[in-house]
Amino acid sequence: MIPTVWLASYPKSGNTWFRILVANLWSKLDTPININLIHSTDSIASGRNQFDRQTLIDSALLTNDEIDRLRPASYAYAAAGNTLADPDDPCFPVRFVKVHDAYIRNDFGEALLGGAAGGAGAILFVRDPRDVAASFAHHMRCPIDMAIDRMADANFCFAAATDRVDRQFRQRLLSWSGFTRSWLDQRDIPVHLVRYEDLLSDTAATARAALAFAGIEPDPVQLDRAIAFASIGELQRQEAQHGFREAPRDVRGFFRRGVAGGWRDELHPHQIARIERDHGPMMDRLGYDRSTVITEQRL
Amino acid sequence: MIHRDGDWLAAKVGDELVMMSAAKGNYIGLSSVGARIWELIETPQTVESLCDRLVAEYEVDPATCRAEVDAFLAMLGQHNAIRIKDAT
Amino acid sequence: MFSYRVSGLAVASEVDLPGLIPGDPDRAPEVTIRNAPVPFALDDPEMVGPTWQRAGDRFLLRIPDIARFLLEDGRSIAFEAENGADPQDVAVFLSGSVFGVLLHQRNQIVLHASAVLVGGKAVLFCGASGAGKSTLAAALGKQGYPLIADDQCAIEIGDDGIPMIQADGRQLRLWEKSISELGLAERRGDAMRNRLLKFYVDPAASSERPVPIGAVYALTEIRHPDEPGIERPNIVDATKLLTVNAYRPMLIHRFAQRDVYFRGGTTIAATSGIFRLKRRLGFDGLPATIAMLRGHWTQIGLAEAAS
Repeated sequence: MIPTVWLASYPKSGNTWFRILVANLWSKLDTPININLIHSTDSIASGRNQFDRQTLIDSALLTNDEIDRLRPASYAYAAAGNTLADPDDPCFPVRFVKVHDAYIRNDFGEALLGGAAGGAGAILFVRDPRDVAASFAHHMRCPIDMAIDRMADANFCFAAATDRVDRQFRQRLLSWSGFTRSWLDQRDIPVHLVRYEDLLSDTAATARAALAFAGIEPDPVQLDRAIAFASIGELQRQEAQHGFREAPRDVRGFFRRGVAGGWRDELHPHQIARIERDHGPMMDRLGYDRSTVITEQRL
Repeated sequence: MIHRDGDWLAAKVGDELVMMSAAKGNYIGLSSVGARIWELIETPQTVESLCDRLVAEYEVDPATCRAEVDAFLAMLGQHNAIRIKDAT
Repeated sequence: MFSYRVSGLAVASEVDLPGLIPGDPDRAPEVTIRNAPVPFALDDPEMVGPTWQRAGDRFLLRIPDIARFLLEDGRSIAFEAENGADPQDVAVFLSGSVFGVLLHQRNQIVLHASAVLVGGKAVLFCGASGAGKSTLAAALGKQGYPLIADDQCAIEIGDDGIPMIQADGRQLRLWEKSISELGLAERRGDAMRNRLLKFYVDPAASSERPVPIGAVYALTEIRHPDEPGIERPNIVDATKLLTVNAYRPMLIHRFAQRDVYFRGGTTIAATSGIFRLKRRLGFDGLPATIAMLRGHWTQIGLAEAAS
């Protein structure tokens, strides 16, 4: 049985980039893999279709809370290898599964993701919340101030509409700080922290450490090739040509800038101050320097 | 000698042939010529006799035929759809 | 006893099942549904899923806080409600998810699809929940194409090799958003569950007889800048599409149905055609999608060219 490792992140923090890097690492092609055909990692944990397939239940007729009660069992079922086409020949050494849900419990008190039965560990991707804000606003096609509101909202959810069916389940993200804390402080499974900024500045070393956590030791030449095949330029080129299925509808440019520190010219001083006020303690914990703390203390 | 191998289901769609291994659920699609070869090797035979037959049925020169048949049989071999045994 | 016809089968049920078409009470039932004690587990199950177990011809499905369902030999369904669940909630799963499993258990081909009648033949739209099957069928209904089935399509290959779909003129099942976008408020019936904004919607017209299949479309969402279109996949992909779009694909392997779906897929690909319908998701694109479909129906001989 191959281990399941969650790729957990608040949106826009390098999760998809890492998945595409891994897909290229495992690809046998000598050209970059098609970003719309990533077969080597599972689709997102909140996907409705795989749940319906495993549970045999039409989840569109369940309420969000009823679904959350069944989610732990479905993750444990998948982690036990039951969803692989051929468990004797899993094709890949690790089952990576992306997830945007915070590490929370359902109303039965069970870990939504099934605890140790649902996954052997998690790689948690974090990014400077000031950079997340601008990218998240673009992702949701909303003003940056609204993105900052949502990042501070402990009740923020994806796919929570009840007048239609979404292909993903409701995902409780909590606030940006709350999301990160929920993953860092849970004690069910080991977590390996990856800062987007480190992945950007030394991709090979950071990816190698994350892969080592998952029990993978890549060949250096193949890793370099995978990094080149997952470059932001290549991802943007493919998205411009065929779109990206995992992007929100009508959002062009899922792969936007891929830089660190862009907030300095994208955010107003009051927006920077707000993010630092909302998330200061978690920024400190992750090593993101605050720029406004001195000013505020003087005031 | 070329022998069919494995538990393949086969069905014609137009003049093409789709095959599925009942155990693994793997699929192979064959063109009309491929479908004809599959039909012919229902009776185990040598590559030479197979090629003689194809050269007679299709407008193809023996060298090209042999090269394409070898490639085709290699593909079927990779899918474990045939096995080749020495003639005795 | 209530009598229904579901996917061509005569069903006798102890409970009322909203949304199904009434059947002939004098016909001997092929499936019976009764309220009876159902265990939490089966003895010696050979397969155990997150919500289900299988032991020989007994199949147990549990939806916590709704009910447990025991399906035996494709012929009977026993159910026991849990924690005083609303009978309406139990009924909605009985006639949908549970019946779908029963069709797999009966070794039938059942697709996750909706179907409408075009030129005397069935046109099927396959896709997972949220792919837009019911919305497209409802939009075509407004254009005068009668509904044949919504959500589940049971297929049989006749002795003459012609694939037929069982008419299941059950009602459309649409979300509030679709109902308002399509202007179907006056046809809206009861909510499927009292806490859910998903409703039964009366189709303007429906077909009640088995119909030969004219075309099967797998709904595929594309993103900008890919262009909408209808493609005929190669024969291998076409055959696989039928399996992928089974009502519950996992059961094909669990119920040893691979050969049945293979035969079905190749027969439909050879006689009717299996296509990919590539379009953007959303209500704005529906008129263009319908225009594209009409053009394709002329091309494949299902409809006459507009004069």
